Amino acid sequence: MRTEIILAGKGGQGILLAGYLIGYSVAKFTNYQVSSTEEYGAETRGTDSKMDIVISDEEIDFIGAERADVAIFMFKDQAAKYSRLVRDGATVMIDSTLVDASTLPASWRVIDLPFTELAEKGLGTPRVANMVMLGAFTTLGLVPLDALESAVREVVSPRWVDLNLKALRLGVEEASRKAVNPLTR
Amino acid sequence: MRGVSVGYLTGNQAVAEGAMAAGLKFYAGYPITPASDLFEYLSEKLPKRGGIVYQGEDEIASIVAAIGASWSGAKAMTATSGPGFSLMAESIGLAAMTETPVVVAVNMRTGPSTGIATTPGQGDVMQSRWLSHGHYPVVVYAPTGVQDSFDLTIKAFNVAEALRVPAIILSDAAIAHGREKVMMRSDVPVVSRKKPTPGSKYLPYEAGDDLVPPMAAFGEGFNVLVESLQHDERGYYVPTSHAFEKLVTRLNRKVDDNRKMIVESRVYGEENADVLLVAFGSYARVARGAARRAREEGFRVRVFVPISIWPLDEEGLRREASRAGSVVVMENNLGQLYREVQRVVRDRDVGFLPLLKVELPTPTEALRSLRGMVRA
Amino acid sequence: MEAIQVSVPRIHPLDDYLRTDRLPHTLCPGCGIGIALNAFLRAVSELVGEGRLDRKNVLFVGGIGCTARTSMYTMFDSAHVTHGRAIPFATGARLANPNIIPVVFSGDGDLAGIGGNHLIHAARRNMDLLVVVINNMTYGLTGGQLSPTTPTGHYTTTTPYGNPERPFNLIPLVAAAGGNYVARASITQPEVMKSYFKKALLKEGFRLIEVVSTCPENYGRHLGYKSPSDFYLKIKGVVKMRSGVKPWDVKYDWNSEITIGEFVDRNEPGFSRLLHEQVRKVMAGEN
Ligand SMILES: Cc1ncc(C[n+]2csc(CCOP(=O)(O)OP(=O)(O)O)c2C)c(N)n1
Ligand code: SF4
Ligand SMILES: [Mg+2]
Repeated sequence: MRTEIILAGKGGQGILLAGYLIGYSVAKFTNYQVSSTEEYGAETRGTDSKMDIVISDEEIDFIGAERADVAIFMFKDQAAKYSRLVRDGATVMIDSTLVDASTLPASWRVIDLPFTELAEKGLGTPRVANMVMLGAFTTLGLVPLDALESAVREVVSPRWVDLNLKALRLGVEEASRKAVNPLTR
Repeated sequence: MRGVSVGYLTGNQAVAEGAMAAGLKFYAGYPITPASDLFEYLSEKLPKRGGIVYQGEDEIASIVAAIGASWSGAKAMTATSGPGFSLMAESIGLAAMTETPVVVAVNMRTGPSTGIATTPGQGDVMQSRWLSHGHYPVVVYAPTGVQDSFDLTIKAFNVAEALRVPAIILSDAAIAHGREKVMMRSDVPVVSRKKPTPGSKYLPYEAGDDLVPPMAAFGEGFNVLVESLQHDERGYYVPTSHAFEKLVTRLNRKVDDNRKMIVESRVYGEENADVLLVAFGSYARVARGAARRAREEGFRVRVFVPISIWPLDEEGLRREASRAGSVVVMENNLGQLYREVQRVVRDRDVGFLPLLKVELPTPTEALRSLRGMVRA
Repeated sequence: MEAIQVSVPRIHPLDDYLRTDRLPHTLCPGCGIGIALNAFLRAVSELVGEGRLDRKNVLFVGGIGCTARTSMYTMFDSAHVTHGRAIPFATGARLANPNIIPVVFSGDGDLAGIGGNHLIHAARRNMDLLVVVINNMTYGLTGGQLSPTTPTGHYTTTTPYGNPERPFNLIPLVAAAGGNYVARASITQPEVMKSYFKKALLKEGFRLIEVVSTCPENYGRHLGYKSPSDFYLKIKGVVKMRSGVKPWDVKYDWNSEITIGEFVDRNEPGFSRLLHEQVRKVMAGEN
């Protein structure tokens, strides 16, 4: 089964690191195939930050996402801009601190959590909002939490590892509290 | 799995890893997008394995230094893109004429001229074959992703070393900068150039039945003569038709007679398809995505992917073409691979689907265009 | 009186350094290149004789041109590559094997024209090369066209009304770019030239020896020198040997003086050594 994921926000939100960690943990710690692309040129000019990730149990054909099954939007502009690449019925996670859920298509199953606020209040810095998001992302069942934790330990600079792991767990807790996993419903 | 390391790498990193697995000892480069990060990656990694990384003053200096290094016995490579590849024209011919194993990784970007530095292109198919003047041999592989980038780089080194020819890895910005899971075997087969027996009488361009002369390195006492002029077995300038025919024929036969060892292609999808869609490099991934989408619509698309572009797997292509309802070539140019496919598939019409794009077209887009031209 | 014994066959003392089976060579009678090659090979053979040079490690590289063609005849590991590219070729060969002693022996057009960028960058890096520029002030092989070192006003086949350009003075150019040794010799003083070669062959880093030479066939004739010796005598008159001269005071003036001598002589570590030391440190985890 092929799962297309779009991860987007604005520059500085740690989108590319988050995307890299997802890909890294799938590649290194699961039997799944994974590919990712950052868009080039025109579309991601300015402060856009967008990554397509494809996860599959078979060889991956096309490396990009054109009808994403899962989308993560960390900022409102990119949510508006890339919504055309997300299929009906997709599971969409948003940072409700920065994206207004009421503006999103009704066909999506939206998981809205205030990642930025959670990071700020719970860990003292908005900079780990991406990690809180990743923690929440693991509850979709695409990437196991322990794989992501291992990825964080291998990829992130040692002095930030603890903070990032805390942020991951905070994301897991908040998401589990929020709802039943919509993918398995 | 033992002896396999799993990576999550970009195409450029995988080319670098493949090169090191194949025994790379000398890399010379000149910064250019989208090949600079390959250079940067090797700058960090290769010295740890005792290899040399060197930044030339331009692409000419870089490839010529790689050729010189190869004659010192080192497995050597350079990497570049459009404008830099154009600058290497004369030197590719030098490598071919002097039978110097050297690998050139070319990441196609959008041309002509400076074009668009960051976006993937496919406009250099003919250039990769006929870059330099004269009728010379060259082997070109086109990876379709990161795993191929690793595997085909090893293959390119092995072919370059076995046949003493320049070998090119013709990739593009999408693959070079895309990231994928890649399995890297540590026990890959590695081929190195054959050497003359010490103390033997040695003629640097005298070949046996396999058409490939043994290659002495500088400093081994063989007094080799590297000669860019038309030459005989000794490397002596001989401007006659006889010598010309003899040399050029042998140089090119090294590739022609070894097609079996060189060529590679893949097919995807069901056998009796409505369309055989021919695509290479990153467009092969688009084509495969389009075939998946087509299946959902009950339209049967089989995808033929040439992995070696020069030479093509002509037999495989002809066989596949004979079975399909129609044959269409899809590429990001106005007809380069298409001309080769037409030449190979002589007995039937070949459709052409140029998708001129600065980003990868989506499978849906490709399928829509394909359905527009093939009424199935 | 005893009869003089003539030894047959006559063997030239430098035959050992030439692919004698290729002789006769293709250089014109009276050409200055032969004098320079002779001085170079004598320098090598003396150093080899003195046990100071292992000829097995000498790599003799030329680009394209009459001068570069000498690489077709020298009995070393030799390379006759493309026009202007002798320096990068030799650079790669040396960096891949630091035992190699590369000598680039090529023309003014090859090294200062089409290959000029390689020249200044090799000097800047202090790359371990001995670069010998045989400056005959013209493109000899292609028929005597304008070269970057052709003096102003001179007639060549592409400046039939006189050269309106200013020439390169290679000594200050290369001295400014860098390098351990910068000297200019002349075919009219072959023993001095040989002593420069001997010295430079044993040094590391970048070394440039420009040799003021003649092309009687395709250049001298346009300038009105009827015979090679007339041209030779003109050169002999214009070159002035000086010592203690700063590179930027070195003259390249056809009408007054072409200064010859040694102008830079340093012993800074060569690029090849620095690079290999760095690699060694990286491997040992010291860097
Ligand atoms: C790329 C290229 N351009 C032009 C030529 C033609 N060409 C051959 S030798 C030469 C000039 C040689 O002049 P120089 O280096 O001074 O050597 P000389 O013959 O004077 O010793 C030229 C222009 C060539 N071989 N390759
Ligand atoms: S053309 Fe000039 S430089 Fe060339 S061999 Fe003849 S005299 Fe010498
Ligand atoms: Mg000249």
